[in-house]
Amino acid sequence: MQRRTALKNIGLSFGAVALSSTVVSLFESCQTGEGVWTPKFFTSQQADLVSKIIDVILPTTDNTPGANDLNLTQFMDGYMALVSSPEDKEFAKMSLPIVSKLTLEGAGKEKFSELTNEDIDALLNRFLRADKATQESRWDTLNAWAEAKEKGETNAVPEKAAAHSMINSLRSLAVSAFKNSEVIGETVLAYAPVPGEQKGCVSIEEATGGRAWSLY
Amino acid sequence: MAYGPEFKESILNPGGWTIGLNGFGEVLPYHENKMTLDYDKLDQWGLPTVTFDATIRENELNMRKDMQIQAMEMLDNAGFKNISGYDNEYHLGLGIHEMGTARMGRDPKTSVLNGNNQLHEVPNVFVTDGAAMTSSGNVNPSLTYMALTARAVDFAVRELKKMNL
Repeated sequence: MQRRTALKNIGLSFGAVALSSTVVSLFESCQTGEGVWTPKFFTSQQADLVSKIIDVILPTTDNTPGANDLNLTQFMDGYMALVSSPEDKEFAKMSLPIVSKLTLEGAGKEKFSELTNEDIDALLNRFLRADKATQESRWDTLNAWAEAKEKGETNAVPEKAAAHSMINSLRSLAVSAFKNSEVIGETVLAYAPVPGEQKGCVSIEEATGGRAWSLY
Repeated sequence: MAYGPEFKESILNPGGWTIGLNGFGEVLPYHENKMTLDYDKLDQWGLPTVTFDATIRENELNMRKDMQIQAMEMLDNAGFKNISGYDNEYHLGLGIHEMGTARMGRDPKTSVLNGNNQLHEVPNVFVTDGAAMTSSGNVNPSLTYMALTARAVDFAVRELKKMNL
């Protein structure tokens, strides 16, 4: 199966944030922390759900801020609106309502406001921690659907597979945005924007305090 | 992991790492490697299209095998573990050192340019890019292009002053 081709066409590619001037200004606008923020790409319900999801993926801990401390939902919304490809947008627009639906169904609730962290944890557990065979079969299902779609067939979307892919992409985008944010990039990760020396043989602890490099 | 506090901590720390070694080698100047104009297939302005007909051959293929072995030996000797070799196929043009197609040489029958990057057949035309070099070396060619160009210009100016051009 031409997995790569299919994956490219169904929007699984929007994980890595490439730094462009648009992305930089997105980060800047997220840092101003203005009170009222209106999502451009997500619906307000989706923005609320995405914020809940990334809060469980990257929670606030004693040592480091979490996704929502850094306004990453706002960044992700701007990224989807201004940077992502038309294919990614299309896939997200199709899949986000499915994620919403499956989240409510799984929690046995009717309103987003009633969703708790435990509900989101249960959702993520079902998808991100699914066993390998389940994940594989979902990719295959989604690929088969995408390939059929390319040939002009209109089959019902395999919901679990689409949701899985969407949740994966949300995680990738959140992680990428997290690492590229100013707070994480400059104060948590090892940050040396003008590297001036090369030490060939030192322990990671000594070199960076055990952290990964921010810029490489 | 997959998500949650431990996951967050893990993405801030260095993960596994790998090191790679690539081989670069010379493509010999084969006469069979050529560029021709196709008058049967014209472009939108009615001009002939270019047919680029070139490939790497036995020497390069053998060199690729050797480079792979040499690289693995170097890494092994340097103390690296879990070494694996690979040979992704190569097509001319992947190494973006455009050169060749207007070979430099003494004999007008077998070359286009003379030693001063001047056309054998048309003395007032100089070709000063990489076209003169039919063998793509294993290092960056731009400085050589510039050196050849400076020399060709020097020659052309002197010839102009002598009213030979």
